[in-house]
Amino acid sequence: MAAIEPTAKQKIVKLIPALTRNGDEFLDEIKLKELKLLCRESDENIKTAYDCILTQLNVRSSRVRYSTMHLLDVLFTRSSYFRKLTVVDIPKILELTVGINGKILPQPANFAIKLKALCVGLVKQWHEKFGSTYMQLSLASDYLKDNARIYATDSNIITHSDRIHQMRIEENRAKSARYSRLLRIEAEMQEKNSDIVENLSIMGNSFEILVPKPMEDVLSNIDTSHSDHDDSRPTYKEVSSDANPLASLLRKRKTNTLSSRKIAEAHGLGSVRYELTITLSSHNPVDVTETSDNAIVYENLRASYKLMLKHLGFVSRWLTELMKLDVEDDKKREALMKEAIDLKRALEMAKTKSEELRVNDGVTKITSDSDADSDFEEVVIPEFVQGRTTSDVGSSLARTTQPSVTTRRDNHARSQEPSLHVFQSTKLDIQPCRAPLKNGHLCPRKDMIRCPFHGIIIPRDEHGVPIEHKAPCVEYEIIDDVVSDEEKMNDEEPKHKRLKLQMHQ
Amino acid sequence: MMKSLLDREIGTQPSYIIRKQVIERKLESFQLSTLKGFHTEHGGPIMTLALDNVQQRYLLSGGADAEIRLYDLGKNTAQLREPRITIRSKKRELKCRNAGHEFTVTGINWSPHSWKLFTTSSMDKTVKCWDSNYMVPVHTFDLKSHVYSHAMSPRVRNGLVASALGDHFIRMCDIRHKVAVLTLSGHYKSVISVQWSPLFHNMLASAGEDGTVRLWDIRNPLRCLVSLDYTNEGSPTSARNVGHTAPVNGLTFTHDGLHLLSTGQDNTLRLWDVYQGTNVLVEYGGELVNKARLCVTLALTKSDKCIPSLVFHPTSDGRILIYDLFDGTLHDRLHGPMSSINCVIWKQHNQELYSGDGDKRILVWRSKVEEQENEDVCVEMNEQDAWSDYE
Repeated sequence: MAAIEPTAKQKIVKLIPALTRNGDEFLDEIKLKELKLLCRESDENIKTAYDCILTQLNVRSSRVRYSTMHLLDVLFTRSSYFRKLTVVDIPKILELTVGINGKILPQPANFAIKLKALCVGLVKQWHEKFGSTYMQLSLASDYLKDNARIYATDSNIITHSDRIHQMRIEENRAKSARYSRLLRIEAEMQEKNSDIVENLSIMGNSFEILVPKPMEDVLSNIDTSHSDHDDSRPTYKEVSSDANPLASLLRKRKTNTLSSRKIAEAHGLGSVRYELTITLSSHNPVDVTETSDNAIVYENLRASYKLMLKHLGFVSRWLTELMKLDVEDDKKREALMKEAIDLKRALEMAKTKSEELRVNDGVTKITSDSDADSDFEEVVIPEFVQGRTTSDVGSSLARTTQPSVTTRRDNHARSQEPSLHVFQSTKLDIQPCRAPLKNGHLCPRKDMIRCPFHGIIIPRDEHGVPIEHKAPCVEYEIIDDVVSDEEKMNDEEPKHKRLKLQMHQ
Repeated sequence: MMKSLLDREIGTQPSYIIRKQVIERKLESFQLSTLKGFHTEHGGPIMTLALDNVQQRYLLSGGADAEIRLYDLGKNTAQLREPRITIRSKKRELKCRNAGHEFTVTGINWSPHSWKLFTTSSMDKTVKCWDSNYMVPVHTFDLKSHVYSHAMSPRVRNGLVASALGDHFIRMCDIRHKVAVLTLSGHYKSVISVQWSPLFHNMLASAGEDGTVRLWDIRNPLRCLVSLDYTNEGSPTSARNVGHTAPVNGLTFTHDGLHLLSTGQDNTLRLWDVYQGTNVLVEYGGELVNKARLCVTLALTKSDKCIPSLVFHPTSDGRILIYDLFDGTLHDRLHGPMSSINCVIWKQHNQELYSGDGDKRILVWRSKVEEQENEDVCVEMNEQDAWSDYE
């Protein structure tokens, strides 16, 4: 016993404070599992755990007590021995967690409220579950019910096990959602797959029509005809890209020395020791141009190209979605991924081919024209900001928006002219009151009409003595300044009134 | 157990041994009964309980709501088939304000040799005599002071009721002549508890807020016989003698009347030798919590060959402590109510304990052995562990 028990005990003694330190309602799963395993071993361990929990409950912090109650609930619902121990101390526990018998819960206050609600709820739950065995639980529950005004809280509590349960449900839901998404992608892929393959084959056919296959071409040259050099001139050039199947094929053929000698012989060179210079041109790798003969093929190819671009979009979307999905059925996902990657590769290959054939020239023009949204964003916004005229913008949509913009600008400019004048600060030279003060100075207050200490502001000499006879006239001028121009037009009467008032004063 | 039965059969062992073993087993596993219970009918804390001495069948309870209720224990125990026995009070509850008490009922006593009569005391300064058949008060003694408790003389011919009063006196009332006959004076603070000796009919024990425990010969009302001193020093009647260092609120004589037990707010329980008037110096563990202001009722087993002498002490933190009377060892702690337990009653016949507490409840405490005889399946299920999360 001495050899094993202390370690288990020490573990428990270490685990419980670690579990309940942070005041969280989620208990650390790993630690909790460890503790549960330890407690499962023997009743002695449970006793140790219980003592530890009681110690934690006695800590003067509602935060610690809160998470300790969660832990207590976990063990309470599991171990019968733990229940026996707990039931005995129910009054003490309620004192510490609900504050019965006039006990006060410690800080922090928000946790104290939560703790109280939790404990009341827990006692209720325990009573429903185990009340028939443990009379004390019924007593505690009844007590809390009797004193409902003080202790009862309506809020539903969430215990640790509830939370685990909830988490499990959510996990399942997410899993099923992911799986259904996978199925959706699969269905979509199956639906679109035939279209894509068909389109690709159409494109492939078109390519064949436009660009004769190198092998056939060469072989036909060897076997059948000794035609002129113009015909045998290779219509393909090695393209730097390895992905180009034409190029790789060509290279393969080149490595085959035997056949190359044949080629050389067929072309009347007699020997392979000639140096052949093949010029690579990046801007026109395939020397096929659109003529009236192959116009229909080109047209078809263009249509297919457009469709292919759309398909490429689909495929890349599937790929990103599949990459993000985290499904248990990984085989299925991988199979789908593989399929999507194959499709994407084929599509990209077709894309490069058609770009080499310059199919995209016409198409891009069309798409850029039809894609009005992007034009609007790219062209109109900077124009609007910079205030330039937008006549040179090619987009029709931009043109339609342009007049309204300019009118708004004009309006703004027009309204700005007079209003700016209003807000300009005009510097008014306000005269100080200059009434003589007791300390010998003159009153420095600057008021428009009336000083709050010395009445109406009147002109005074350098000693502050009023200059009598001028008074009404000056007053008139001051009022003139204040009254705006518009008012001046029809404000004869008030002016008189004001003057009269002055006289009375 | 089987060996004991065989031994009894052969005759090598006296017959009481088996009974003793059974009772010991019962006492070892005392717990709050889940099968038997009382309806919560009182409107306030239950202050006192009384079980009749004749059949131990009728239980009286007095509450802080001034109500007195009578329960018939015998009738309901016959129906143990039900999952939960609830004992309802008799219809004849004493609610009538004119006849009943006005304030907290502090004490109830059954007449020693019949269940026709009982007396109650209350904080409304009265002691009442009741006819239990009609549940009406027969006579009311107005004592002009709070009555903290009272005791009926075990000698029928005496017919005396001693009341512990708030005005420092103990007053005797003769229920046959319906007059207050004499007053014992000596305490210098409120008297909280009084008890008649079962052995000497004229002897009365009293304890009060002044911390003294006094023994009286009622034939000499002017001074007490002995004022008990816990240090066992000084003269027996010295004014400096104190039984406890704090108010004493519980007194009880052992059934043989040779010893007296007192409990005080200094959280100690003391056993006194009545003959010598000395402290027996038994140390009863340090777990006692006694903050009660009013009288606390202790319960004692009536010890014989089979039943050990035990003390049941209710505490203010809602426990019942079971001590061995003579060596003071803590036999068991019973847990249950959230608030204080004010009184306990021991039913010797079938080894049951009844307690009244501050939660207005009367609780039944029984042996687990007995409980298990009527246990349900669901109860057993609740006692199982459930370690798995996936249930």
